[in-house]
Amino acid sequence: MGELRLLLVDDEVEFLEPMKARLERRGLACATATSGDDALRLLGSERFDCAVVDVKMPGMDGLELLRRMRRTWPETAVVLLTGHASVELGVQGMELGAFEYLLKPVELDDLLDTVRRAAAGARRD
Amino acid sequence: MLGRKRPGKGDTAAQRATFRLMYERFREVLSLNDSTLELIADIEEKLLGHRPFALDAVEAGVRRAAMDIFVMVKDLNQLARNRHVGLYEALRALNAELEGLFGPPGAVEGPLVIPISTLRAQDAAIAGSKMANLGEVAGKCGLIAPPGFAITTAAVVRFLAAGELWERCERLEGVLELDGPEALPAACDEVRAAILAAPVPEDVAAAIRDAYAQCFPGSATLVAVRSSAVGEDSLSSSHAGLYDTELNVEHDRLLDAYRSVVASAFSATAVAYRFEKGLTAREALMAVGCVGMVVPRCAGIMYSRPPDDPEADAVVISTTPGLAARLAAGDENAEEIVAVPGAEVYAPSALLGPDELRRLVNVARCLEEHFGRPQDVEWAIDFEGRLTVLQSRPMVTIRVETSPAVDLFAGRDILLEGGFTACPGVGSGPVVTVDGEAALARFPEGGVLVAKHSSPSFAQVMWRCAAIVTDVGSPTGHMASLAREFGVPAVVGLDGATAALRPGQFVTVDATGRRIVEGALLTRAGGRTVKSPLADSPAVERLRAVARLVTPLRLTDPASPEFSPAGCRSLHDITRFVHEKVYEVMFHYGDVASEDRHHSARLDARLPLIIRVFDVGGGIVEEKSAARTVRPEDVTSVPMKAFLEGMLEPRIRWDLPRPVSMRGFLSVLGESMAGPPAEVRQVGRLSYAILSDRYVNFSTKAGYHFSTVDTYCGQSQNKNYIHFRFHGGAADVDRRERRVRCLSTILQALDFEVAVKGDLLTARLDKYTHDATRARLVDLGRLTMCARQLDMLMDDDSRPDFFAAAFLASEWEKF
Repeated sequence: MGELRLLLVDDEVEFLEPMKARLERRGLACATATSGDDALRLLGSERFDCAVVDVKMPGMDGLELLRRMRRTWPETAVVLLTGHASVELGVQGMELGAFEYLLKPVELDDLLDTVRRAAAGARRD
Repeated sequence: MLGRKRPGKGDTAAQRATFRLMYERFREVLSLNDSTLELIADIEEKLLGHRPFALDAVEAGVRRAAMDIFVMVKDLNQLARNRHVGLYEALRALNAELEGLFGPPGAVEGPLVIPISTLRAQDAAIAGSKMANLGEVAGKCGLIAPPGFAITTAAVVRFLAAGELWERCERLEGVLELDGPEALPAACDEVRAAILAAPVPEDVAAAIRDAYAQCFPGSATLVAVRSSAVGEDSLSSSHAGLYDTELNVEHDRLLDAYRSVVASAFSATAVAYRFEKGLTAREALMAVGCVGMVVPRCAGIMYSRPPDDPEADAVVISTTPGLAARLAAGDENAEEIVAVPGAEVYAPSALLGPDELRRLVNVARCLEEHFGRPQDVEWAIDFEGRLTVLQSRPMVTIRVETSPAVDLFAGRDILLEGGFTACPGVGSGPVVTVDGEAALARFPEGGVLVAKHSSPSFAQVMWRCAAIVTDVGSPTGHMASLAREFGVPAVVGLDGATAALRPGQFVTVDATGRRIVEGALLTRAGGRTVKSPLADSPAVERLRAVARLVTPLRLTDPASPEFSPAGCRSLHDITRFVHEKVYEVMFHYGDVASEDRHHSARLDARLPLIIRVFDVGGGIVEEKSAARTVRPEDVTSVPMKAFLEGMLEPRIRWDLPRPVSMRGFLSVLGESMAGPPAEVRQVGRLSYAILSDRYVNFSTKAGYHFSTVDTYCGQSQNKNYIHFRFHGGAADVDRRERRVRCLSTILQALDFEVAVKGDLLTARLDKYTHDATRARLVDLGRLTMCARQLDMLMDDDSRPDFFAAAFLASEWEKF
């Protein structure tokens, strides 16, 4: 299957860095972005199997990033991860084609499991 | 996504993970469904208004439920390959409507302050009824009201919006409900201290200063700052004396007095009072009046009618020298005068002359006429003899208590006791046993519906039943929910009710006390309960607006075209839809299993079926988890063990030659030549069982029929179910239908709810105990074996009943 390439997008650096470290310890290759624009730049130069995207970010929010990703990089699965339990955001996210909508805090095993399934689905498509 | 692609060979872990995930999602949907139904039951119970409740806590519950339902909708779509995406839109629309009803009141339109001289009745929503009425007094009745102005609710909303003050205020009722009355005073003190310390927004402060300057030129006038809350002074809840009034307030203390009156809405007494009365924090949205202090010679209160005899033509006046504040509080002795209009001589008074009494009576009648009902009026007469009306509000008449609290059941023999209250109340009538649709159609007006299990189909007759009693059922089920909607007293889960109650027997059901007595009880509303005290309270009204989007169940019939995402008009509808559809997905669980034969174990049992098992957790003993074959004794799944026990019944002799008639055989041949459906040939003769410790999904495609058993059997009764589906067959249509008829008779006798459409039969058994569910699974195992080639035995129309009787008499050798 090869190494799984993951992009983590979150404006909270305190969340981003420890998460990256934990995921890498489990054998994933992780890149991080602290904004939607940042993420788009990375996506333009590298291929990712899956992106884990925070919904609430200043500037371009997670849903807007998702919208653009589905258009330009449909092969990269998007998992939304948010601290706000919102029906409206969840519905929008799923309708826009998110692979999954997860609430923070998320168990590392659950996130890993979701990311692996998302990547597997995306690779086959 | 799930089941979208067939995993490559050797992908054992992935395949196992797919099953486990499907299973987990399925269980998640069911458990979220349960918690949603519990919330719905809770809301419906609260809507009855028997008990006060904190609206804020219910709203939090509804928000959680909406999120749970989002997860259900997501899970279903992930399981069913996005076949039901329309549900997202249905949920979004409902959620948006709900959000509009929740949370802090939106910014109130309107000015921050309004002078009394321009206030009218329609301003009550932002100035409070007390101040609005005062405006009417001055403007329309031609009477004198004191000068002053109202600080509106638009202002208080601005004030409380800062620092989450509103949210903290709103939570106080929840403190009372959840933590008890002991916890309330401290919580209230904290909130009030926060209000007293909070800055008044600059625009509000400026508006107050300007209004004061306009009403009272030169800043020397003392004012009274008094509450004029939106829900104050209503007929059913007077709030009498609950909120503070600050007297003789100087110009530079205005804002302090304002904060203090606003804060008085959140004293422990005020919160408890509103809670008991079914009022909410929104009724405490405080408009505040600033009125010039009157220096009276005498002042007082009058009732435009005697409160204990509102029909009588008399005005009751009490008066005291100076200010009447202490009179209202009840700690001042006053002169009491009953004045009869038109009478020449009024009762003698030391304080009021005949002319003043006459003027007061005229004012009372004038106000009464203007407001359309008896009034409670505060007034003052100054040293120049000028009569000022300080307040006019609807008078609270004394209600006569008409329901004596006696135990109507004393001295009666209790026929049955127990079960759960699905809808409280008392109802009496003749027992009518209902065992199917036909019995419902014949259901008489005023009957007591008695049935083995609860069913939403009873909704058809709820408007004419006196009460409902079922052997099996849950207070959070659909039927219970409907019973509350219709207000039909109902007891569910009362074991043995159908056996103990004779059709036609006259009984009284006390659903509240969960007991049934012989004979009729005379209750006022024809056997139904009377309306409860909080039935029309603002809390119930507001909850009703929320409940309209949550509780009504419109999707009752899965076969109707309405049964669609677009037909979902409530959260209940969405859960109902998801619940129905998720079982449909699970009926095809076995199809996913059949795509992969490599990663299951073969069940080595003496059976004419090849059974492959997939364990998703705890269904097989540990040591055999990786084995290629397992034996029945290795199975640890409770429902699978039961089902196998039935299939392995030694008296079912599938291994002996069968008494198949030539006609039956030819019929099978005939159909086979016409060709069995392609998918039958393709799938072959394998059966699949997906197991966990308490779950089985067993699908058989052996022979020419399809059958699926999906079941959960654990210790929590509410979660237990057996869903069974059977269709197809190789014989001609008549024989297949006869077989279905035979199965239907048997399953109904075994307490299943059965639906038949052509040769498709579906049967459900929900919410039975662990042991009862287990026993039915053994029966179903036997039936599965007996039914295998039953179509061949169905030569004529007498056969279905013959074989049904044989099965039920345990004469399995006949098959």
